[in-house]
Parts: sequence; structure tokens; C-alpha cells
Amino acid sequence: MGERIPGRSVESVIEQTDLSLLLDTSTEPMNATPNDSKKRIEQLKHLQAWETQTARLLGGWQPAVRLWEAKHAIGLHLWRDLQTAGELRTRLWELRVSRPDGSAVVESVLPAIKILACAQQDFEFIAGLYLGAKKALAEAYRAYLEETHATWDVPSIDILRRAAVIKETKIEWAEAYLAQVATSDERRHIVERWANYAVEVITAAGGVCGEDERSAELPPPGYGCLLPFGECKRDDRFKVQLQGYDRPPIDDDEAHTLWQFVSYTIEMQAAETLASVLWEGEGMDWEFYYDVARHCYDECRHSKMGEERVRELGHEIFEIPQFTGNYAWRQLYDPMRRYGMLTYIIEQDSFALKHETYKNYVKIGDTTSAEAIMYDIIDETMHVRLGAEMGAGID
Amino acid sequence: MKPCTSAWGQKWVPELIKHQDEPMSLEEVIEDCRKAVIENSLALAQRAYADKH
Ligand SMILES: [Fe+2]
Ligand SMILES: [Fe+2]
Repeated sequence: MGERIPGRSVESVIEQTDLSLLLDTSTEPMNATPNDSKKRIEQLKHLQAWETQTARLLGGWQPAVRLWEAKHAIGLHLWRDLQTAGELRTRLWELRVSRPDGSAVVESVLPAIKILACAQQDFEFIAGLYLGAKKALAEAYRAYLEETHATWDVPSIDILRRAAVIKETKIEWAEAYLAQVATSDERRHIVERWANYAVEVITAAGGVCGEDERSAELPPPGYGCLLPFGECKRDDRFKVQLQGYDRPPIDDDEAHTLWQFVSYTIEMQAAETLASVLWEGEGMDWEFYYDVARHCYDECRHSKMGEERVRELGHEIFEIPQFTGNYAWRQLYDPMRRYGMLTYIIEQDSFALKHETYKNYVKIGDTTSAEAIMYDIIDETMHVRLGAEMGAGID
Repeated sequence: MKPCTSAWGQKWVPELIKHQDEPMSLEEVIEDCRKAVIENSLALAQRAYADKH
């Protein structure tokens, strides 16, 4: 990273409120690298769009990912992607770009994303997204860090260093996942082929920084798109049944506690519905994706919390049949109604049950279950309409 | 980035209604959602609570 001397004084920079004036190098060129900030801004605009759109695509596929641990991981990853996008957007706002989603950016990213959606199998999709798109993002962050000015652009450097590390960790995760899942020669061939194809598509789309030449047409996938998925998938360790469970009487402590935490594991279906909404809600404000991604990840955590408590109670979730039908019937409705059912009806109604069971756990001295429910209530207050008032009543 | 602490359903269902050109009002949509949960949900507690309202 070479030291460069800016072409204007700090005072004159501070006085400027419109960065586009600063970028007008025809009137007053910068000494070292004319247009450097203009170039950085364009890169950041494309990078945040790739983060946002890859998170949406992860949402589209999450219900169809079979391996339970991978489904959980994807819930976290799509939230991390939106967090990174949020930090990049905040930086862009500092750089006087208040609307980073210009049509040129979206037009260069979305067609490529829609092609990457066309994988036919979950591991194939993950190979393309992680070894293609996420690897390209990690490399772009590293290249940006190498090239940008070590003093002028420190706020971006802080963000991109973190973003690069997060991406590299996710790529390592994908490599481990693929080693576990793509165990036959045929599967390894599919992984390699689709990952290479994803790189071709991203290159033809002008790269994740949007600065390379775009091809007139992206290479066609040769497959139709399977999204949105009508059913959510579970791996072979699970038994699946159609119907849910009757609630045991609350004074049957053992049966009721097990029922409640098994029910938490089944909240994965809520995460899957939200993930589908993330994908299907195309063209919404960016903040919508940020909120839905957090919501989706929260539901994954509730499912995990259930799983851990079920284990502490002496059971494995694979022993107890899961039901996946709630995801399936909700998919018959449009994304707005799906989101409305979860937030206005299902989550809101569940407060009464949570309140009642929290008090009961306190009464019977099961503080672990009580604490777990309390954390859930805290998350749920963000999810629902009247949550804040109802949650405040818990004592 | 400021964390979002507002109630998400209240914030985004009206936006989704606009986005989808939904002819129903918010209240009608919520009633529709309640009916759908009562008729379809496979979680018995979910159905029972939705039905109480
Ligand atoms: Fe939940
Ligand atoms: Fe929730």
C-alpha cells in the first residue's frame, strides 16, 4: 500500500458536503490517483448488492438443504451477509451515497443470482454460492484492502477486514460440508462443474466489484430453476410425520417440558418460511431483507435451543418425529400472507403459552427451562405487533 | 448500523401489501391469515390459540 499525497487540503474536503463535487477530477485532479474514491464507491455499491442478493438466494435454498447442521449454518450465514451489507451501506452513506441500489447495480447482480439459483441439488448450490460467489467476494475484499489508501480509507478498511475474515470462515465451512456430503465421484464432479460455472457467470456479469467488462449474455445454466420450494427437506436421520403433537397437561412436568422443547426444534419451519420470504420478496427495500434475515436466524436459534434442551432432557431430536407440513401449506399462500401469519398470528398468539409456561418453570424450580423461554420471549418481542407490551408483563 | 427493534409484522406487512398490489386492507389480510392458520396448521396449540381470538 503506497503512501499518496492528496491533491487538496483536509479543510477543503471537510467543507464539501457533496462528494460528487470532489470526484470531478476534470476541474481539480488529485495528485496520485484520480477517481480513486469514485472507483471505491462503485466497488462498495456492487459488493453490498452481492452480499444482499446472495443472502436472499441462501434464503431461497435454505428449506431444501437436507443436512440439519447445514440448514442451521445457512440461517446464520444469510444474517452475517446482511450485516456485512449493512456495514458497507453505512460506509457508503458516509461517502455521500444514500441510495446504493441504483438500477445499474441491481441489473448487473440479479441476473447472475437468478442463474446461480438454478442448481438442482443442495450441495451443488452450496458449491456454486460459496466456492464461486463467496470466494469472489473474499478475494475482492482482500484486493480492495491491498489497493486502497491506508490513511484516507481507514473506515472502509475496518469493515472490509472483518468482511474478508467472515467470508473466508464461511468458505472453510462450505469446504468441510462438501467433503462430508459430496462423497461419490459423481457428486464431486457435480460440485466442481457447478463451482466453475458459477465463476464463469460472475465473471460474465462483470465481477463482484462490477468493474470488469460485462458479457452481452450470461452463460445459460442448462437447468430450470426449482425455486421456490414447496416442501422443506430433512436429512435421513429424521423421522417425519404429518401431524403435530397434542399438548400434555402442564402439571405433567416431564411430558410437558419435553413437548415444549420439541416444539422449539420444529420452529425450523418458521425459519424456512422466512427464508422463502427473503427470496420471494424481490424488489423490497433493503431494510426488509435485513429484518427478515435476522428473524430467520432467530428462529434457527430457537430451534437449536430446543434441540439442546431436548438433549439435556435425555433425548435426541432424531428419536422424535418432526413434522414439516406447516412449511408446506404456508407455501400455498403468497409471501405477504406467509409473513403476516407468522408475525401477526402465530408468534403473537404464542406469547400466552410462553408466559404461562415460564411461570410454571419458575414455580417448579426448572430455572434452565425458564431462562431459555425468557431469551425466546426477548427475541419474540421484536417479531410481533404487541410483543413489547405483552413481554413486559413477564416477571 | 442501528439495530432494528421495531415490531416487524407491523412494519412490513403493510409494505408487502403495497408491494404485491393486494386489494384487501390490512385488517382483512390479518383475518385471512388467522383463518388460514385455523384451517391448516398442523400444530394443535397454534390452531387452538388462533381460534380463541
Ligand atoms: Fe421462535
Ligand atoms: Fe419468532
